Amino acid sequence: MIGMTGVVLRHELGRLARSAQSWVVAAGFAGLAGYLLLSQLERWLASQDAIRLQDHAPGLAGFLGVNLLAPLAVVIGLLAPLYAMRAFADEFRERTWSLWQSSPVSLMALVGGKLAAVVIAMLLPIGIAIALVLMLRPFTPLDLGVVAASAAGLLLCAAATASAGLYCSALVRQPLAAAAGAIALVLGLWLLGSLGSTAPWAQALAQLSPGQHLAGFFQGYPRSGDALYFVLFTATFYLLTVIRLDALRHADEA
Amino acid sequence: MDIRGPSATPLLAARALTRLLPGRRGETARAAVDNLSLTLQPGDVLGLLGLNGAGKSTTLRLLSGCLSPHAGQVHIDGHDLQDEPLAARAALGYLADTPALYDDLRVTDQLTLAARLRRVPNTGIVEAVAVAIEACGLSEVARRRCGALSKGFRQRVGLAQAIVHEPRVLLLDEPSSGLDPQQMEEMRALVRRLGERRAVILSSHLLGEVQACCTRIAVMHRGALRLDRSLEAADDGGESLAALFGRLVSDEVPS
Repeated sequence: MIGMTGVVLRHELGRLARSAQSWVVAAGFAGLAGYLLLSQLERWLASQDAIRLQDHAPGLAGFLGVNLLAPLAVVIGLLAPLYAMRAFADEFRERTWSLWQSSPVSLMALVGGKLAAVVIAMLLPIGIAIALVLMLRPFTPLDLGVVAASAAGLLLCAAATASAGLYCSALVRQPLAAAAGAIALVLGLWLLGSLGSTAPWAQALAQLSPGQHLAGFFQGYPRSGDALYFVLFTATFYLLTVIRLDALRHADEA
Repeated sequence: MDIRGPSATPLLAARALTRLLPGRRGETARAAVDNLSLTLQPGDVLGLLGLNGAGKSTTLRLLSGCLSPHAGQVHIDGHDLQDEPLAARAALGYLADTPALYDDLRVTDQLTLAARLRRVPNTGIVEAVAVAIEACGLSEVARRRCGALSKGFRQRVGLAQAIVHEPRVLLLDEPSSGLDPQQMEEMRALVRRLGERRAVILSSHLLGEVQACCTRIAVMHRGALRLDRSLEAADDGGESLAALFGRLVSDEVPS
């Protein structure tokens, strides 16, 4: 299975690399991240007097984790579906799906390869975000533990939303419809964390929000429970995608 | 109906395959493929004839594993397509009605991908691709992107993709569609050559094509197999094949 996953991964990465959209999205993200970095650095410099008075004042890495990388996590969560939208929808639309269906490739390997390819492609925007922070290291001390934890949070967030994107891509023939569905799903889940109610049901629903499980990563204190949330999120949509694709053999929709 | 008796290890055996189409409101489901049974040995080149909508493409999709039957079983090279799908599909080459090609891939890259997916060992991929390119007459377009090819060449790349791993069973859905007369003749010669050591099913609605390259003829109508016999036996019946075909696909009850 690993061998075939590698074949799928290689093919899918090639498709993503040949797609202008991947590079345009990454470039747009780099521009946004650069702008946010500059504005947050200005805030950091302007608040130095107040920070000096605090007992446990955050370092620059902690400040940027919360004020730069956390907002960028939302952006990355919305970008991953854009990278994943063509994964299956294009196969259905371009009538290439029969190549995979008639090949000795298991659906687990196929979906695993495509998911791995999207996550690897997401390393580019994640790398840009982390590189922007690390770029400051020659000029000021940075807590690398916080930066590493933030990178792990971004990666887990990207994997989770990419798997949701793959699932939506397996539902429709139009990539843009797949992206729109996945973005709506991710945004909806994210907003569950902002219900503002103290009722038990609202608290329980808030636990489904990716945002609730990211804060610890950007503060430099990741919890294993939060990491488990993203692993389960990714695994759930991975399995739903496999089930959906298997159902296509019975439903004759593709 | 004259179905050949089963031998010890048929390359392809389909038993009582049935695939239903969902019925419209208030209607009962109709069978796209109705209780179809087939057995193919090495050297069999079966021409699957029928009118549009007879169920030929659905049959090939069922045999290739692209579609699951509502009833019945398929064995490819001794492997059950439901229980051992990967082993069964490894022995299978399938050319769909629309060749599954990526427009942005060069022909060699497309065939390399197909070879990898069909488990050709890494050390043999270059040679397998070269052999498929040679066999399908693709040398002059080997470096071109699939999206820039004519329909005829796309069809040939689809066929090369289906044979790149030297499958024991080959399913070709209207392989000569879009080809000019010369390409059609080349395709028929290639199918005859491929059929010498393999089991081949070729769907078509051209009787002449089936006569030119097949050893067996099967006629489908409304999802059911109405004839399955060797071409010689069909020819010896005193009735021309065209007349026989016309009678079998009429809506009267077959004799």
